[in-house]
Amino acid sequence: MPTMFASASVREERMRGGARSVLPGRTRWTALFHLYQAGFVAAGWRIRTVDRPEIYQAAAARELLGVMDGDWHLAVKPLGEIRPFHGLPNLFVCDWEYPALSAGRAPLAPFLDQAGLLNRADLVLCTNGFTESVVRGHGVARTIVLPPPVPAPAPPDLAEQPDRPRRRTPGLAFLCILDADQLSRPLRPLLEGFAAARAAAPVPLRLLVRLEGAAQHDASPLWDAAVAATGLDRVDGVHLSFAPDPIDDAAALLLFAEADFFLSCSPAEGLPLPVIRAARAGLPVVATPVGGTETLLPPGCFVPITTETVAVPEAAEPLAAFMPLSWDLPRPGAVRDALLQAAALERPEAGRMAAAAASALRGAVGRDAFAAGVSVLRRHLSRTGS
Amino acid sequence: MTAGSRASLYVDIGPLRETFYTGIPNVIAEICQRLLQEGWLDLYFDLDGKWIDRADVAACLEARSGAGLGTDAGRFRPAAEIRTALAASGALDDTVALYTDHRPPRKLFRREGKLVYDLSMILAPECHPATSVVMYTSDLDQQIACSDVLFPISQSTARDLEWVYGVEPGRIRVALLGNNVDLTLSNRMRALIADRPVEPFLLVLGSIEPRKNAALVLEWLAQQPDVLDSVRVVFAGRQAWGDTFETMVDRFGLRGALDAGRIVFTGFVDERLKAALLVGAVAMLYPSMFEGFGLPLLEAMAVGTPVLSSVSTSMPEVVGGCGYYFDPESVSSLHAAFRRLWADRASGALQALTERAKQRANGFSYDHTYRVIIEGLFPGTSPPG
Repeated sequence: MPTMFASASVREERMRGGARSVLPGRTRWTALFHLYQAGFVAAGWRIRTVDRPEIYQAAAARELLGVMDGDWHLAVKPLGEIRPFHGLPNLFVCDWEYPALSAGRAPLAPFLDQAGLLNRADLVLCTNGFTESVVRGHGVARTIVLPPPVPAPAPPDLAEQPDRPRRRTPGLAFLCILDADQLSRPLRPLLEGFAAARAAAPVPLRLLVRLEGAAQHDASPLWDAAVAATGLDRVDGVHLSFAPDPIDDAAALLLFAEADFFLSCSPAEGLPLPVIRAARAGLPVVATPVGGTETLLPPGCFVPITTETVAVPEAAEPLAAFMPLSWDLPRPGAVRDALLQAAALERPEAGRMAAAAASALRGAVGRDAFAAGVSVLRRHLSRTGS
Repeated sequence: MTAGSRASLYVDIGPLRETFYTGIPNVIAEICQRLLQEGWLDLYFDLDGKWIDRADVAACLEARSGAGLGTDAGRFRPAAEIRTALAASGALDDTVALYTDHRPPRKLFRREGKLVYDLSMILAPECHPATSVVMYTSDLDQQIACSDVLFPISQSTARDLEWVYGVEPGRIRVALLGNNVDLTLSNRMRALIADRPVEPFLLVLGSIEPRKNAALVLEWLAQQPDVLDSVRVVFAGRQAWGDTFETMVDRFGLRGALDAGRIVFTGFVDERLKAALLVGAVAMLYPSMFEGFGLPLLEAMAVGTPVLSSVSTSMPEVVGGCGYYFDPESVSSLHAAFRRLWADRASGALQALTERAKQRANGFSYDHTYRVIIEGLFPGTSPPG
C-alpha cells in the first residue's frame, strides 16, 4: 500500500505541542485536509502526516521514515505555507478563489510568489475548475481538477428517513454558514438584502447565521463589529449561532432541517464546502455564481444572486496590497431579489432544483468522482515520471 | 585576474564581532586565517561599517575573540573609505567581494559571493523570534539575487536555495564546513577524567530555543523515565528564547528528576567545559529541528563521542553512516535510536562506529571550504600559491 505523506499544519502548529494557528482560513483548510485524507484512504492509500516535510532531505531521512517508491507528498494548506518534500512527487492542493495569482519576485517574499510556488509542484490539485483556469492562466501547466470527496451528510443512525425532517417555525428560513475569518468581508449586502426581502416578502423570513471557526466568546464581538461596520441600525429576523469547528453530520442535518434554503453571498469562492454539504443534503441553494460555486453548480440548479466586479480591499485579502485583485460582490438589492425569487418558488420546483444540484455535485465531488480523479492523477504522474 | 597578478578582495567580517568565536564566527575566523596568508590578495575588511586593518583582524583570530574591536573603536576608518581607496588605486572595477553575513541588497563590486548558512528563517519562521525573521528575511531575496555566487554550507542549504529562491545550480558552490576541533584540549580533558568514576550521561548540546528542540528530549524522558536510571541527561547551552528550560521541565513533569540531578541544565558552557562534557559523555544527543550544517555533531565525532542525531536537513551530510538517527518530530523514533546505541554499547559494536566517525570527521577540512570559496570568487583562474 503506497503512503501519502501529508502536510497540513502551519506556523505555530508545527511547533512541539504548538497551539492551533490563527491563520485566516484555518478552519476551512483543516476541513479540506480531512476530506482529502478520507478520499485517499478510500482510494487505497496509507496517510502519514508530517509537520515539516522540508526537513527530510537525505536518503537516511527517507529510509528512517520508510519512504518507498510510489509514495507521494500531499500539501493541503494555504499557498504561502507550503513546503516541499524533496525526493517525493509533490502534490499541492490549490483552492485559490480570486481571478488572479501573485507572480514574480521582488517585492514579494518567496512564498508570496504563488505562480512560482505552484510551478515547483509536480502536480497541482485544483479543488475546482475555476481555480484551475486561474492557475493555468498564470502559466502553471501541471494541474488537474481533483476536489476532495464531500459526502452527503449522513444521519447518525441509519433509520429510514425518506424526507428531511421539517422545520417547525412558520415562514421561510435561509441558512448561511460563514467562516469567522470571512467577517472581514462585507456583510452589508447579506444583512441589508435580507432586511429588504423580509420587508417585502409575503411570508415571514428568517436568516439563520452559523459562524464557524470561533468559539462563541470570541465570535460574538467579531460579529457585532462586523454588523456595526455595515452601518445598519437593526436587522430583525437574524438568528446567530456559533461553532468552533465545522459541524459534524448530525449537527449539520439538524441545522439544515431548520432551513428552507441555503444562502451564500460570498464574493469569491474556491471549493464552496458549506454550499456543497447543504446541497448534497437536499437543501435548495441561493448563491452568488462565483468561483467554484459557478463551476460546480450548473445554471438552473440554484437561485443565482447577481454580482458586480469590484476591487478586493486589503482588509479582506493581504495580497491585495501587492497586486490588483477583484471579486464579485452582490449589491443588497440583488440579494433581496434572489431571496424573494426563492421565496416565490413552489415547493416542488425548489425540490427539483435541489435534486438537480445534489445530482450535479454527486457527479463532481462524490466518492466515485474522486476515485476516477485519482486514476487520472496516477496516469499523469507516471507519464511525467514523477 | 590573470595568473601571477594581484587581486583585491573586500570581505565583510561581521561575525567576527562576537566576543567568543564559536559556530559561525569560528568558521569566518578559519576563512580569514587563510586569506591573511595569501600574498596575492589585497584585503579590505569591513566589520559593521568600520575598515579593519589586517593586523587587527589577525589579533582577533589569535585571541579567538572580537572583544578587541570594540575598544577604542574610533581608531577605525569608515568602511565607506574602502571604495574610495580602491578607486584611487584603480582597483575598484576589478575588486571582488565576499559577504559572510547580511549583505547590501545591491551589487557593489565586480563579482560578489555570499555565504548562506541556512534558510530556517524562511522555511521555519515559527522557530525564530518574529523580529529576527523580519530583520533577516526582508530583503534576503535581493541579497541572493545580486550575488554572483552563493556558498551554502551544505547540500541541504543548496537544495533550499534552489527550491525557495529558484537559484540556478551554476551559481551555487557548496562549501561544507571543516573540522578544527582542538584535540589537545579534549585529550587534556580526557586525561583529567580518565581515572575518575563518571556516571554515564547523555549530552544534549545546544541553546534552549525552539529550533534546537530540547522539548523532544524532555518529552522522551517523561515517557521513558527508565532511561534516567541508566544515564543522566545533561543539557548544555544558553537559555536563548522561547520557553525556558525550567518551564519545559515542569510541563513534562520532570521537576523531580531535575531536583534529583538525573537531569542537569548547565546553561552556557565555555569551550573547555564543552570539551570536558563531550569527551565524558556516553553519547551526544542532537535533536535539532533544522540546521545549515551541524558543527556540534562534527565536534563530537572528532573526539570519538557517539552521536544520536536528528535526521533533519543537513545533519546526515555530517554524520553519514556513523551515528544513530531519529526523526526530530518523534519521541518513539528517538527512543528506538537510543536503544540501538545502548545495544551496540553492550555488544562492543559502538567502538568500531566511533572510529569510523573519527575518520569521517577528519575528512571535513576548512582548507576545502576555503578552496571552494576562492575558486567561486575567482573562477577560471589559478591563484598564485
